[in-house]
Amino acid sequence: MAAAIDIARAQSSLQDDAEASRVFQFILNRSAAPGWMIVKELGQEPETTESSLIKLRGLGLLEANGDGLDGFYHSTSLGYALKEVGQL
Amino acid sequence: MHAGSEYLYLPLLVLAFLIIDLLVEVDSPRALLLNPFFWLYWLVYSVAAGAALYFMTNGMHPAIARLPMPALVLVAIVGTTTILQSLTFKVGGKRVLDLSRYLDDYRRKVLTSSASLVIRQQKRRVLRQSNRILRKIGYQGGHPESDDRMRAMYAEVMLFGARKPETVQREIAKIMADCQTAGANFGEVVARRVAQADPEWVKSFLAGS
Repeated sequence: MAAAIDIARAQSSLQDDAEASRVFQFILNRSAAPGWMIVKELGQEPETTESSLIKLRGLGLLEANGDGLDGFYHSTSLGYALKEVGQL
Repeated sequence: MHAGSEYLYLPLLVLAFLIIDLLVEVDSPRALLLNPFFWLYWLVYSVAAGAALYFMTNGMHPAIARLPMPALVLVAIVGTTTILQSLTFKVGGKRVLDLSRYLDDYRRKVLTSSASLVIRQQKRRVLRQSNRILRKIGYQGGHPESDDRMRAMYAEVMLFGARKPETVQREIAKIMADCQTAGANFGEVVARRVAQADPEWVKSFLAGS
């Protein structure tokens, strides 16, 4: 039940934020990625990527190994559950 | 084919099936195969598929039992997957046993732990590539010429899309200031960042003469 609420919250939050949604998709497609790779591959400004990563971590969709753009990111169980719902 | 040999190759087919299924989401076969959670997942699937095959060959209608063994094995794997992914037992409209949920949760556990292993691989790759970059250009900390080469490298990798050269120069200045404050090595920081941002560029740089 709690997971369903978290998924719904994350879903509506990503629907309103195209940049964060792109970052999340990118990480899902690669299983994991360093912050600076996301910046370059998505052609974003570092600040944009960093704020997306903070948001995605806040939603419980990402787990980090390291801080900021120097960190490495991968999806959490909730992130994979959101992907399974197919509403990204 | 000897009777019973199907129980030897069934786990291999289950393994192939699970690898194909999970590699769609895990970008590294190595991370998957090094993951103990994956092997437990495979064990559960193999035992369930083995049980399904046993019942099909021994307890089913003779017409089914007479099917060619490869077909029975295939049906055992597909049938097991279908059952495990949808088995829910409800009493009074309430789910008492929801095997599919447990299986989905466990599958996600396999995916997240494999992604952690992918990160470990990526970190090792970054370390390896950044060391090789520094060796290739013969970087010497504090030498203006070495630092100039690292600045040029950073600008080449990080100047993309609509980014302006002055933005990139500001980033370089910030890295230098941070290195001075923290007593870090400018060359190492730049090499690491470049290796994080663009492994393909680093590969071609290292391959070049």
